[in-house]
Amino acid sequence: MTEHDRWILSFYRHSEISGAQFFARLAKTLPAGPIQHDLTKHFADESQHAWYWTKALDEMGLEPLKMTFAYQDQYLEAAGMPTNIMEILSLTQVFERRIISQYARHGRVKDVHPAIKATINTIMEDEKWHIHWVGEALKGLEESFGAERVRKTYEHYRQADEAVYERFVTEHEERIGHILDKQNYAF
Amino acid sequence: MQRTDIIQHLVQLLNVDAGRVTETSILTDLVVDSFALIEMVIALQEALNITLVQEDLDGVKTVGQLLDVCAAKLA
Repeated sequence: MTEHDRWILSFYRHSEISGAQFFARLAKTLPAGPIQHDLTKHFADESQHAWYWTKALDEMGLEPLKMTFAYQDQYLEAAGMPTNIMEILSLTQVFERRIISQYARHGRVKDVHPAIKATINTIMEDEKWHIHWVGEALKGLEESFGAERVRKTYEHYRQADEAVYERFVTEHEERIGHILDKQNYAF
Repeated sequence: MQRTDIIQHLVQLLNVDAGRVTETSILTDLVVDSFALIEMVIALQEALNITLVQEDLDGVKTVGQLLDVCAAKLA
């Protein structure tokens, strides 16, 4: 295990905690209904994921590093503050797709530690449900906001995500480059 | 709804001393982080039964500017 492994797993853990904290606050703010219901489960999942990464680090004999930023923090700077539930869910959908892509790539790396592989496999099941429920909620919100506005909002955050991810990869290439290099994939 | 009523909502949502929330108060000074600002904006919409979109808050920095946006939605 390298310091890079420790850094990336600590980064995953920190981002899951940030996501849990945000959704927890939203779950308290939103009125009762299907979105509040599923958002509360989503918050619980993110908390659980933070625990899974903590456990994986422990199994690998590593302690989590104290991180100073989460991936999500950079969205606000790049895309502006979401102001309603449709904008928040659009941003969430973009982020969830990014997370799935990142975890899928990490899971394909040759000789990835079994604890990492097992954690990714477990989390991926939840992530698929996250994409599903947020997608359904956004479809439902088309009635209030209009399908075109929902589509444009998603596109706005998708473009912001591209910029944020590109900057993230550039800044941390030394730490995550091996995960992104397809030559390192087992399949 | 009067502007003072909306300020009263803001005081409750932000859980701060009433004296801190004036028309010239900077919104980001009233919250601990950007997530708290999002939380407040969502709760304010619920309280006033209005819907804001991102463009509505472009350039909004003070409580007074936020009140202008809410007043326009309520009109």
